Order: sequence, then C-alpha cells, then structure tokens
Amino acid sequence: MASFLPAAHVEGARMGDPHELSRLIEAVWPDAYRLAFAILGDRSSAQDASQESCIIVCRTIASLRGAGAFRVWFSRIVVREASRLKRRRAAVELVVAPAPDSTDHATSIDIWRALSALPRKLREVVVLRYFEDFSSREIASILLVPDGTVRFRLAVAIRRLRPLLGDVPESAPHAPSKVRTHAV
Amino acid sequence: MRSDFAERCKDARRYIAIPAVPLDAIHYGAAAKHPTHRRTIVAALLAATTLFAAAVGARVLDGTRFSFAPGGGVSMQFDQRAVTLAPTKANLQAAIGHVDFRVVLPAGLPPGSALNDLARVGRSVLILGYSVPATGRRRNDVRIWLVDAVNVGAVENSAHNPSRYRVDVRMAPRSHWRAGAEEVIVVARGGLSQAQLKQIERSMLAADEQKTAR
Repeated sequence: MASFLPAAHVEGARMGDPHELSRLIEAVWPDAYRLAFAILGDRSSAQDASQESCIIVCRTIASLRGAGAFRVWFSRIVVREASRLKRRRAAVELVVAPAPDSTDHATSIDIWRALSALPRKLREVVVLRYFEDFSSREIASILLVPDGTVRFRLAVAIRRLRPLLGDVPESAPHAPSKVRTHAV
Repeated sequence: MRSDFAERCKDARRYIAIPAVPLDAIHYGAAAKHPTHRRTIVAALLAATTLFAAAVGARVLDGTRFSFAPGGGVSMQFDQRAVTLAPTKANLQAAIGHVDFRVVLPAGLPPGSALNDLARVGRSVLILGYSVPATGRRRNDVRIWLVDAVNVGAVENSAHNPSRYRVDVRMAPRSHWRAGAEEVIVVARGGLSQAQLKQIERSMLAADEQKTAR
C-alpha cells in the first residue's frame, strides 16, 4: 500500500464531498489493483476485485471511524473482494490461469510462480507482509483472524517457499519457534 | 526482517502494470449497487424481473461484447444479466424467445444430467448450467455457452460500452464448435472426456440439421 495516505481526501470523502471521493479513489486505485493482482494472479479478476472494492468504499466510507484506520480498512475490503471473486470463479468457471502481467523480469516471474503454488490463505499473508509491508498485527486485523494465526501461516508459507526461492528469510517476523502441523 | 526475498517482492509489486481507474463505472456501481448481504434477495428479484420481463415482452438487457481471444480463450463484457435458478421449460422457452438467433439446445449430455441454472446476457448469449454425473466426484458442473455467431466480436449496443461485468474463460481443446447460427462453448470445471464432448457436438449438429430440414 502506498506510503502516502491521502488523509485529506479520506476526511473529505467521509464528510460526503464527491470531489474528494473521486480524488481518493484515484489515489488508492493503484494500490487496490496491485494487492488484488498479487492475490488473484490475473489481470481481469484483479480489475474486477479492485473495482468492486472501490464501489464498496464509495458506499460505506461514511461509516469509517477515522482517516487513520483507512489503510487497514481498505485493505480488508480488497482482500475480501479478491477472495470472494476467487472462490466464486473457481466454483463457476475456469478463469484464465495466473499470468504474470507485470514484467519480463526473471526474478518477478519466479516470485509469481512461487506465489501461485501457495494456497489462498498462505498467499494472502505473504502478499500483505512482503508486498504491502503490513505488520502481523495489522494483517490479523485485515483478515479478521488472531495474530498467532497470521504468524503461523507466515511460517508455513515461508517453509513452502524456501525450496522454490533460495532467499526466503529463515523465519517469519515474530514467527513461532516451532511450527505445529495442524490445518491451515 | 528484511531480506532479498522482501526486495524481490517489492520489485515484483512495482512492475505490476496498473490499468486506468474506471471512475465512471465505480460511481455508477456505487449508485446502483446493493449491499453484499442482500445479494440473495437481489438474485431472487433479478429472477423475478426476468419472468416479469418475459411476460410483458420487455427488453431487459443490452450492451454485450463477446470475443474470442488468441490462444484459446473467450472474453465477454456486459452490463446486466438475467439468471434463473432451477429453470422450468417455460423459463427456457422464454429465454430462447428473447435472443436474436436460432437456438440449438445442448443435446447428447451424459445420462442423468440436469439443468441447474440459466443465464441470458443481452440478446446474443445464453448460458446453461448443468449438473453432470461423474466418476470420482458425485457431480460435475458444466456450463454450455450458446452465442450468436453474428455478434461475436461486435458490441450489441454501440452507444454503450459494457463495463460492469467481465468474464474470461479458457477453453479446453475441442470444447468449441459451431451449430447452425450459434457458437457453442463448453466450460466444464471437472472436465468432460473428449468422447463426451464429441457426443454433445454430434448430437447438437444432428439437432441443427433436423431443424434446418423442417
């Protein structure tokens, strides 16, 4: 998520200013798309998820408790919409397989391939931690799961990524020292 | 903990190409969209609207763009759709009456297949969802798209660019053929065998010939 938080736009949009709302959507659109793409791995789904997320923001921003909560709140919406879309499309139709939209960079392609090998729940925590720089506590708030669950998922994800990518950290931030083997 | 992995993730994120923000579609959606928890009610209302529209002969849907993508995929953009769950024969006939092409219905499906749902997109696309018996799993979901061949690649209502929904589907080999005036695309998540696909194609082509001969 962008380091620059458009707090003025958030406040204006909360107060019902349509001009500020438009500027806010324009400001957060790239972050929404990047997050959705990293979770979904395909362009059209990412665009749909980001668009739905922005629609939800337009409808419900008045209920946001303050500009400071915007980043986590917005990320929660994007992750939820991306997950919902992924489940729905998997159940209904075959969606085009994940394709690295981004790049001709070999390293990026490695990252996308490795990510696509992870199940959705693990992929979400990796994306939120390493792409979006959220702390495990913030990720817990976004995914509405306990902090320990986030750290556990990160540890499992890293263990699975290590054979695919050689430079994965030895342990997740604040990861449990022993990884139990219950279901993720 | 920082690492090269984290940097590579940042790089990968940085190189994601961002499409233009669809501001108009977002504002339109925000004005028209219903809350998520009411979707079931909305689906029921949509089905009821379809029946009502069929009854009064109103044109409910327009603005559909359908195209074949290189590499064996299809892409469809549209603004509205009408979905009927557990459709009756009357629902099916009504939907057929509202499209602009001569419909050849799917035939030759494996025994025990049942029509689960029916979706009409504009006047040029019908999507029939079947539940098909399968080995290994209890049922397979199979969707058969019937698309007006004349409208492939065209925008049905050129005054409006459909942007609300977009569906991209990758086609399996030999899951696409033409039967009369319609393009047929079979989307089977659990997979139909090549023999089953061939059987459906043969049956539909035979049905088309019979219709033509009449």
